[in-house]
Amino acid sequence: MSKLSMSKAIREGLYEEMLRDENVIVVGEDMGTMGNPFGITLGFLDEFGPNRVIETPISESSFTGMSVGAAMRGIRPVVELMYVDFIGVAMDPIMNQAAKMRYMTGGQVNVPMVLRAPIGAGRRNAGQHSQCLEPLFTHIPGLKVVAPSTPADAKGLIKAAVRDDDPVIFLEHKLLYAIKDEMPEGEYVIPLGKANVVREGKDVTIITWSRQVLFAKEAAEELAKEGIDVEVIDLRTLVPLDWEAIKASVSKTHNVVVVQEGYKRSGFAGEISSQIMEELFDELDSPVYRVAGLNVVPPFSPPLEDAFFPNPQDIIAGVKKVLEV
Amino acid sequence: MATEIKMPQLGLTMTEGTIAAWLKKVGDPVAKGEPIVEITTDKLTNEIESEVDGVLLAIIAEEGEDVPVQGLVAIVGEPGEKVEVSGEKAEAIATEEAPQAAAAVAVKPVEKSEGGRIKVSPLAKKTAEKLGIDLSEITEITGSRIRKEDVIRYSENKPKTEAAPTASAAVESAAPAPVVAPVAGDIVKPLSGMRKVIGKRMVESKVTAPHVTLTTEANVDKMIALRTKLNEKAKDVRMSYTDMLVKMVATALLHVPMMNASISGDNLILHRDVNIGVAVALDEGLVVPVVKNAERKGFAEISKEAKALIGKARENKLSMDELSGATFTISNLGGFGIDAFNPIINLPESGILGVGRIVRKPIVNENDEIVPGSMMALSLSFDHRVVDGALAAQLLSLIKDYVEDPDQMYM
Repeated sequence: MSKLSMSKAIREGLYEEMLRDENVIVVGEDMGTMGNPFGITLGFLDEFGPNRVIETPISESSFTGMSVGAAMRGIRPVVELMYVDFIGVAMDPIMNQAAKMRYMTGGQVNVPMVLRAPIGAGRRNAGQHSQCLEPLFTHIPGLKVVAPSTPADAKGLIKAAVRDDDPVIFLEHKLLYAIKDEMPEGEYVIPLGKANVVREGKDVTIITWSRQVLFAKEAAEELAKEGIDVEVIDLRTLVPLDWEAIKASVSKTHNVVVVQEGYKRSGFAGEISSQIMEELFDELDSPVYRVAGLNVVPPFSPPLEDAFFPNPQDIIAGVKKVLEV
Repeated sequence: MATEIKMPQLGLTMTEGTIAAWLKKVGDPVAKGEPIVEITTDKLTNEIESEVDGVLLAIIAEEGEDVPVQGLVAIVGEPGEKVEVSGEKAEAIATEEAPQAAAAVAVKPVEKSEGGRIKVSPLAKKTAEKLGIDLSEITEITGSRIRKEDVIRYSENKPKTEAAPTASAAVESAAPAPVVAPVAGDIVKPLSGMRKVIGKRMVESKVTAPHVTLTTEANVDKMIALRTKLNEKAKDVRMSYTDMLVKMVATALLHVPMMNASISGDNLILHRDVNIGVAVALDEGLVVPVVKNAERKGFAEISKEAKALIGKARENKLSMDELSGATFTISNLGGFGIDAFNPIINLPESGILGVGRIVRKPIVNENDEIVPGSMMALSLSFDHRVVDGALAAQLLSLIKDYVEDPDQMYM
């Protein structure tokens, strides 16, 4: 079994899809010669040529809009925002066009595009380059939202995202790009909407995604030493949400901590916790608790940034708060 | 060399057995094949025999203790031989002690807010409802609100007599009969394992299943004639009325599947097979061996099988499997000269047929003439949770039709 970093795994997935389907193209800043800041499209220009590897100026609004149009004509663009923070100028093509086209045309037109965007804090990138922003997308009907935590999942999910006939937002945590992990042999696709129970436990369920899965597993190992048996669910896909996986776990452990890196206020963790309280109230033995980023502008100062987003110690504290131990 | 005596598996479904009585004491000599301990399961009583000659060195499981299949029960060996209790039992003891240590949790009193509201988790509330516990009785909690574990701890420590009047609790409290002091000349005999099991199951049935008994009388002239004819023809079979009733009841149940059913939680299980239990009286009690798939068997096959089962029952040789899986029971007290009686359902079955004696009676026939006829009372007790009177009546009248005119079974 070979090991690959997440950036290499995503590269492999995209490469396989571009070989499989000539309608798949990549679009974005520095995608060609530089092969993107994280090397995800390195070598693609030589292999697939400028018609399928479209290097753009700094013009998120226009290249995103262009890709939505291309997708409506049957092309499968994989668009990259260099940072998810830049979605602001490109929100209209995503929110009002890509997400709504299938519905507003009565199914005559669909938009099979993927918007890839690095997310996350921890690189001292300050306020405009450190956000997660999942709720901007999960809030909009018509968009699917994926946020993998491992290289293997990232590859299988990017392939599923490319093959999906509707717009998929693919959020990649910058600090996961370099982390290597084992890869399955051969070709595989991981369906969207399937969570993964990465650790089984009976006392409390941690529901999370992306980089916080790693922190949750670390916290779970620590808590195990104190006799607290933690189950960790990696959602992998936020929309569609794997409700059955959540229901099964909550019905088993009866205590829930939802962990997200992004701002706590109006975050996706709040959505999950509301759904659990609406649907699984009688299963709960304690209030659902959120461990999340602080409601502040991401600081540049390293000690302040470290305090801004949750770490394993915060998760341990959250679990203990819920269990009152 | 010491030999371990283990709990045998007396049937496929047996998972544990209860030590009913020790027939030997530690230090007693035992011979190979000699019974040393009596065990009971929920279905039968049996004896474990020593596999070797020697001395009973150690009793591992005390009377009343439940032991899993293959669990250690006793050790037999040479006189004076030293035995060590194996790790298995030691582990079992250790695991039993562990929860007690964990149970010593730090608790604090429940705080009531203004207006007397108490904080309870939704799951704790649900659990309390299920266990029939009044949340206001819970005074000790580990955190800031009553949680499931607080309810469970309260429930486990609560004196049994305060238990909510659930069926099983009622069975427990009903079980100990009023204490009677023996006077001189009385004989005091401990209840056998079988008597205890019968007692428990009968009380359980009466408390759990609302019984209704329907009774009718059937003219058995044609059944008698058929039996006489068949027994004359067959060389190796001597068919009894009970054997014939097994077939008739099984056939009737195929037409009324709701009476061949068991309640399981919130579900009703309609059994595919019709397995008829036949109550057999023994000196020390009663057992109910089962004729499996009676609906598919002929009179001769049923008769042979029933004979074999009854024989084994008398010798206490029935296996657990031969005692399990009945979906309906027949109890025939006709041989004891009884006219009719109300039988108790053998749960989880839904019905039982009580059969009375055959007696010659004057009958008014269709021409308004009084003629002699052989009559037999049939009493069907059914579980009113499963069916209502009309359906039970349908079953009983079908059985009556078959008894009065066995040819109708071919319809």
